[in-house]
Amino acid sequence: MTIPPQSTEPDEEVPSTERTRPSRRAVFERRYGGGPGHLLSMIVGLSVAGYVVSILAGVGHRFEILLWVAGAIVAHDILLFPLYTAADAFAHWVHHPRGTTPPLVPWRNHVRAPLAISALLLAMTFPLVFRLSESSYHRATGLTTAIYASHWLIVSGALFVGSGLLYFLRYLFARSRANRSVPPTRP
Amino acid sequence: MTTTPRRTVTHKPAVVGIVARARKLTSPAQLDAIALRAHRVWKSPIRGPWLTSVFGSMLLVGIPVMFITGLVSYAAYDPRLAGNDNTPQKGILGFYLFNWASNPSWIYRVSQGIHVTLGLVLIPIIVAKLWSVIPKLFEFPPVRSIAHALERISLILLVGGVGLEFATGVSDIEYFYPWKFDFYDVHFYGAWAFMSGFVIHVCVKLPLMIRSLRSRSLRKELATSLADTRPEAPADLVAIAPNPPTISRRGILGLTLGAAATVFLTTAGETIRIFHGIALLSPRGRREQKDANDFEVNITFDASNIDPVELGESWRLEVIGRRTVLLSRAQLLAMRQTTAELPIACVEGWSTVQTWTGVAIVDLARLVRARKDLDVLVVSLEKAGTPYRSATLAGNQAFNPAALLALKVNSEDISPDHGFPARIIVPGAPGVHCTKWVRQMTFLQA
Repeated sequence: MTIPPQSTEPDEEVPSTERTRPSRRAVFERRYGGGPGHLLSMIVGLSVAGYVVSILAGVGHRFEILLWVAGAIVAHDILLFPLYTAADAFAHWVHHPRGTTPPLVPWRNHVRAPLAISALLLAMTFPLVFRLSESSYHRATGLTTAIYASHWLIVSGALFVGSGLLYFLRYLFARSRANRSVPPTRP
Repeated sequence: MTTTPRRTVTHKPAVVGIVARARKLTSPAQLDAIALRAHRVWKSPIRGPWLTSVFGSMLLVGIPVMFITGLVSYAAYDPRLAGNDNTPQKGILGFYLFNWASNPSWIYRVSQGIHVTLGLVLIPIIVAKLWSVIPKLFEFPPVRSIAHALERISLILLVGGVGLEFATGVSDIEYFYPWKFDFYDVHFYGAWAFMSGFVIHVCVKLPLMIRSLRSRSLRKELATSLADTRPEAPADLVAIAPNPPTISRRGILGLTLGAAATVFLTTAGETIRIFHGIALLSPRGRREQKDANDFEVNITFDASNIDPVELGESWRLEVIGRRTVLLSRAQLLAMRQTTAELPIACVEGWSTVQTWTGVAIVDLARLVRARKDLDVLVVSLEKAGTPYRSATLAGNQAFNPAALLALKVNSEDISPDHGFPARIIVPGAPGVHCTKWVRQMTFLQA
């Protein structure tokens, strides 16, 4: 058997007392902050991206494209995240004010889930729901976007009804279990 | 959980590592305090590498399928043929791997149906993934090494790319164009930029993903109730000062997949027949077909700007081969009629199968003594400059025995919206290559 090449051994596992001077790889990793594979994937990936960006810069409306990319980066983290986090904190406060006993079956997630899905569906279909694309939509399809507001409400309603039914079943189940486990209190 | 030797196993590991590297800037204790304080704002008790990796592994399957079906759709336009590809300056990215097949007839229907339906279904998973890694955006210090700086640049491609691709894709199928740039240019090149960021991200994070997936058992998580939900072992992404849990890990997975399922059920019907009745949110969700011509249209006759007079008795089809022939609709109807059940499949994801009757393109070729398997340029009555006013069909498409110049659909005359007096219908081709209101067909001499 040949001795495996040194590079396959993570150098952290070599006790420092045995090391007279750090291996080349360790020096590289300290200066760069990652392994050679990391650097290679960065070079290859960023080169391809650079080439694509150089083409995109020439297709016209490049500043608008840049604006969209920037918007895409902040859309979730800086716009949507604070919004839904605040909404959720509010729901938390409504659901469970300080000093009250929690409900037998917590209902919070039975509101949260349909609300979250309904909001996501609205985020995905708002051009149809708010009829923002009516003219181009009608020219292409011969149809109208007028139906989508009610469709979104129907789907949202179905989600709430489904979630409510599930809650009701869980509540019945929990109550029958609670009744069974309570010891008889009559003298 | 198996941790790398580099990572300490105290309750503030990543932070301590970051701080150690930025020692030159200020005193370690001070930086440590800043980083810790910054990290305390993240309160979710379920955020952690395992959860992120579960979402990541779903996208690791889904995103490559999106990219491949996207490239397939590009190839389906036969970009090598004159006039079919209008993407400017495509350079080496405009490659196509094969000539597009015209057999089986549902090939584009399936690949583009997957592209659009899967794209919509992945959106909740992408949102969940972004939520799960949000502390990374606000990492402190923002850059800790060359490697880290490059990685953050690649994340611009990844996050900007995913947002751009999905936003433009969804907007396009909803005919919502709040921009001036060309959708195809940006969606096509944006996909390449996004994928370069995606590949980098996978290369860098795959080992961590696998390690994190192994750190907890999925089966146990699915059996863990809210009351028993505890934060993951201390690591990057895990809150230092978590709130009490309000949803379990199985709960957040259920919510994400439930959202994906809702999206699927309310949109897939535009291409999968059995879900037609509940396709409430698909841009083309139609309930039922009432008559022969009552199915999806792309560009109505009104929007085509064609003078209705041009569709009347004076209309002639000009077929150019070794000789040129002018044919009236009556003459076309007198020729041998071929019937084929073929889908129209749009790049927007919808598709519909109808029964078409008309003259096989093979028969038209014979009439003008054109050689077999020549490419065919088809031009409509639309005015010059209208997008998709003409298309070049490859020989293998045009000479498929089922490729028709259709005159009737479901035994009735095709309506002006569907291309009266005559339209092309070719097995396996994208819808816009099935030119409507055909004026001229030229068998192109090789």
